[in-house]
Amino acid sequence: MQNRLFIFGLLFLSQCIIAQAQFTSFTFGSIRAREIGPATSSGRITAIEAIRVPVPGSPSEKRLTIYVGSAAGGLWKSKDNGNSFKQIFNKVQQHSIGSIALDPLHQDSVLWVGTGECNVRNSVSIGGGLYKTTDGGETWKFLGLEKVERIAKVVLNPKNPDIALVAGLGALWGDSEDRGLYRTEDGGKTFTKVLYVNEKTGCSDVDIDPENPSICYASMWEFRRKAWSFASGGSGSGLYKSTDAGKTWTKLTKSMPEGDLGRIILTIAPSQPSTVYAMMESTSSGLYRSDDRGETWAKTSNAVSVTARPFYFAQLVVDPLNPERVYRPSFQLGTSNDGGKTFNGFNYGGGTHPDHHALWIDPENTQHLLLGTDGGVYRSYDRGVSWSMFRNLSVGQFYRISHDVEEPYNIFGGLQDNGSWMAPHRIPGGGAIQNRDWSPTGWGDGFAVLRDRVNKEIMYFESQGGSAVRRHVNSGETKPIAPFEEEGEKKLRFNWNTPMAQSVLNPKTLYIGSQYLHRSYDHGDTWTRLSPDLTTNDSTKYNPVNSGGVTRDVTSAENHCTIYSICESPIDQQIIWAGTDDGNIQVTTSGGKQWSNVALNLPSNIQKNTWISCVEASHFDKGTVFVTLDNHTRGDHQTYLLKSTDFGKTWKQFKSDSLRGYAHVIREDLVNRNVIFAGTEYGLFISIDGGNSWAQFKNDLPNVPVRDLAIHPQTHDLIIATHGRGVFIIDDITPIRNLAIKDLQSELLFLPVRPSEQSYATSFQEFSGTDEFSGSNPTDGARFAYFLKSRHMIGPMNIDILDPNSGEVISSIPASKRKGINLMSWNMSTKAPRVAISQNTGGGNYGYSVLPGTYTVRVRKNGQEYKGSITIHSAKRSIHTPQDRQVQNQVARRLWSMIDDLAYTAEQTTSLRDSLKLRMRTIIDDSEKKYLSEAVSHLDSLHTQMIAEKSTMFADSEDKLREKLAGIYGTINQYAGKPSAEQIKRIDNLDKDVQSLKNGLQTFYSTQFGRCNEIIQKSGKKPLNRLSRQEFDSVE
Amino acid sequence: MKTILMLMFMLFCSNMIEAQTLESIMAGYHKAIGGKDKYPQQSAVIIKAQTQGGGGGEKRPITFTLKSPSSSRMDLVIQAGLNYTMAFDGKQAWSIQPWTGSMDPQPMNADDARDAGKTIMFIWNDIITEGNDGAKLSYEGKDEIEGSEVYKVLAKHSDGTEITYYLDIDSYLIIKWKTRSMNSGVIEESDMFLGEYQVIDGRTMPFAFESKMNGETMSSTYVKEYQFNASVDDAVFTMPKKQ
Repeated sequence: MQNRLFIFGLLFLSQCIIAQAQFTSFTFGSIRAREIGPATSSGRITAIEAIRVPVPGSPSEKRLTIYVGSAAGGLWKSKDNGNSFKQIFNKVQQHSIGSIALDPLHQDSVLWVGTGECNVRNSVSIGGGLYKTTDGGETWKFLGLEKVERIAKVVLNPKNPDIALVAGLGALWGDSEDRGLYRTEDGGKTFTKVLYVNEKTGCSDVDIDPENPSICYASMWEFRRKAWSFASGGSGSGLYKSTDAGKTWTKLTKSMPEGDLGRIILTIAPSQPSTVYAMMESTSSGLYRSDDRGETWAKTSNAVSVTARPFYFAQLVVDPLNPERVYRPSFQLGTSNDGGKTFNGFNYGGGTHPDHHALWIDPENTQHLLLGTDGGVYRSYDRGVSWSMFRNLSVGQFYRISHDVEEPYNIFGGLQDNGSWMAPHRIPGGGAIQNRDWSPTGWGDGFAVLRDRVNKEIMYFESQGGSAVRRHVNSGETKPIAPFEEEGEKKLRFNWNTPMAQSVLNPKTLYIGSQYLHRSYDHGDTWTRLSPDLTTNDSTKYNPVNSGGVTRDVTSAENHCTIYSICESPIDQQIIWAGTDDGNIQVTTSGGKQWSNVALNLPSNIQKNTWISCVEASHFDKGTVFVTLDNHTRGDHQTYLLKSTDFGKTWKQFKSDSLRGYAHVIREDLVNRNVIFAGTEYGLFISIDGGNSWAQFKNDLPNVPVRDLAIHPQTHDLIIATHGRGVFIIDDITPIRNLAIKDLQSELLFLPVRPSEQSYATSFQEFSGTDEFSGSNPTDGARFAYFLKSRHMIGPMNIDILDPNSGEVISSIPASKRKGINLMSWNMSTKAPRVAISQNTGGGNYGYSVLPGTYTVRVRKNGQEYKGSITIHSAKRSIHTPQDRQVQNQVARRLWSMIDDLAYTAEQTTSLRDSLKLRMRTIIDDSEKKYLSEAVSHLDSLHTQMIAEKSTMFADSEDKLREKLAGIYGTINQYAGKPSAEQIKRIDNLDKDVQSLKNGLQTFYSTQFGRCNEIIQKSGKKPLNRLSRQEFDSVE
Repeated sequence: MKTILMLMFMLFCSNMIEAQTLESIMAGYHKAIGGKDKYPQQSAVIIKAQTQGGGGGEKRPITFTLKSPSSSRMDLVIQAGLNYTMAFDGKQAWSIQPWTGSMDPQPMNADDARDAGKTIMFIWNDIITEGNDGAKLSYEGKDEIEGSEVYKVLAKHSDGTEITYYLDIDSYLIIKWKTRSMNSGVIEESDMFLGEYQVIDGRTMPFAFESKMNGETMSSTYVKEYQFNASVDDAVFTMPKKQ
């Protein structure tokens, strides 16, 4: 008995535990992130494959299905020749695509995807293994190789696609025994590593002879990136051949370049498989050609378009039908028509974004090319002479983000290799944010972009390595403003992604960081050094001149020992924080006179010199600071989020199983100190309890790198800069910042939202097709929010909007019932008037807008009643006084009543007329019949004046009172201000018409109704009914 | 030791709970809705409801008339005196669209006709009919819908349509169904969320149907009355002659 009780107790306890609502991703309920692009500058593309697929139901016709893999924005699919794209990798928690392989026997459905981009630049992301779909991307199966991090190529045996070779390039930032070439014979169930050199050398390319799949080639590449250098090449690099379908491999040594090799990119000519091309990186890099299946090689070209940046340009493609036509995507699309001997110049095929990484050639029309670049996908139908861009892929890679305080406010940000851009956060009048709403503000690789807070005509932007520029918006002039080294000093060290910051308290203050902190009060014309060298100043780590390895490559991407993050305290200008890429957290409380490196106090589990990716001074407390640390450049992918409340003397590390990915940014909420936002390589994470617990925000925000975050102080929007999918906005975080952990046990809890704006801005017609990216605007409706502990399943739940004074129901809306925060929207309109019955739609069948004010929201849920409120403000840009709005509202209400009145009058008239007509048929007496006939005519004449009688799609073609009222009702409702005298005159006249018709009906009642009923009753029929207003109102 | 044993027993029990099959889920569903026998397929049902757009548009009366095996009719009051009608008599689907300025009935194309034929699933869904209409059912495991744990049951129809039913793991009631079907050569997906269940004459019926796209509610339909065993003339489903 005791045991049984114990079991019951345990069961009860477990139920209680289950019933406790936890803080999870679902807590955010229906709050969603809104994507705004841009797709006009797009982002880096890493892989393209395409196949013509029969049209369902019409197999003789075909459409081009295109798969596009992006650097950090996932995998996309178009089923309509590229007219539109859909993201198909969201459910897979990986965003970086290394390679795509179509199953040669099931090209319409089976696809293998190796994750982890292999264009291994400083900012490259990471992957998480190999995936396969058998239903065209609807569902994915994880095949393993998670630790490989980067998969350069997947090739399938053309005759037996269960046999596959997978080039595991591997880790970029450290040694790894997981790299190498893998082989499967069972469709990916199991893998064998068939080629491995050492922990520094990965497999960078692989190909299978399409004619004789026993013959395969693979290249191995020794490489290593550090935070301050990159090295390509070494004794591990080499070219290999297999003659047993990839089971065993032999290193090719004949006629190879001398010395250490770097990266080797290879490809087999599909139409002549004995010919193999390889771009071999060495001290004398060049294109090599073999015409005996790899046994001997001859160098054919050392053109720059061939040899450029092998670590970054890793593709070589031969025309499917012509073995002599070779394409080498690099800075431009290098093209040879003579078997690799000569290549076109850099000017060939202009118009595309430079830096090419992926090329697909249509085997049915080799003039047709798809090209993946650092700035999106392009299509050519003339073999690269001219190009059109796919403007529907928002895969931009933002580094930093900012905003201004205009209405609507603008968002500014810099993107990897796509300059700097700005866009409004919403488009007045509704509609969608599109490519055309984005404007370029800077060049190069883009980073910080700031609008001057005193003179909004001035903006600042950067390109790589701290090249800060002041831009005068009106004149279009630009002026470089970066500080220089002092006489006798070495060149200043600016990070690739140099921080630039403004002061919250003094809008004239501008900061920029080299190894020193610089401050300017005059728009960058003069700079004051506020600090000594704040970095470790380790000379072994700031000599990128020789970076690159076999091929020298110096672009400032490896600049190190630099300041990476700057934050002046928003409550004390004397307190400034600076984080460096070599692990220092420096703070001054004296405006720069003295500095302390408080990184020395970090917990011991954090490796020394870990990159400080963000410092965020508290908005509430001078001594409080938040930092993120990013140690991925040493192969450590842990999430480091920390807080100090004593100026960095001690630190608390936030830990949670929910956190994932190395950290880029942390922001403390501006209102609630317990709410913290963090961006990592795998998304956005939020805490509502001061960092004790965390949940990933997923709603429409994919698992992509979140590099920067900004909270708008007026709209309370969270602006999210992703490094792979452009900009997202969470409109109004007020409900999140007002939710506490204890609230998670509430059955239903109203949460505050920001006041809603009532806008009357007009949208105009536009028919732009489906081939352009289209973001979204915030909802136009008035918002309110409530939290539900669990989904409402049983019993009624409804929502009414009430007049707060009278308690009268103004409107009713469907209740959202999901677990978590339910964000609702009301269209701010009253119920519609009834309209006179017609064969035509229209007639003013909609409510009028309510006045700005506060309205009560009542939720009824299984007998319980909960009340909240909605606050509506007029639009900030509104030109109308409250008095004018009041007048407009009164006029709209008057028209509403007129329409409703007319409906009542029309209903009576029609009903009486039709009843009379029916009853007339049995009347024999001619005089009585004539009397009734005259009565019908009278009613008919009233009806004719009221309602259009012809059935038409365009009701206004017959301008009767119903249609006239609808017309003026529409114009009054579209403008929030005082109606014009002309409009009022029109309404007065229509009112007279309504009254006239009512009088006409009254005349019937007073003169003809009684006599008609006498006649009817005499004939034994049921008398006419006089429809009362009450009866009319009771009809649904 | 005793505690450990008890915990192991608990785990064992929870694993037993986890081990669901298609049969056990359907049994749970049938129990939850009041028993399969309460939904005789030879009877007709009239559903009187109101429908409303997301955000607070007008509530408009809507009536569904459903009769097995596949006849259905929907009458939506656009405004007083004007009804949008869509019907399917088992062979032909037709509609009257008054906003076009014409009250003439128009035949619908084959894809729309197939979708119209699915209207009847408001009552006789695949889990009630258990594949009597040729659909193959399979249990697809657990999932999460808007934060609620669900069982997934997939119904594959012979016309290529796939409907996935998501059943709340606590109540076994349907939270949502997702329909995938081909329309004009393109796969279309739609989500229908069910809720506000109430027991009517021993049947547990959904009183709210919400159509969603990308998480946003596009329209909501609230049932006011279910008339089971209604007397319905087949003629109401037949396309009338042009006026």
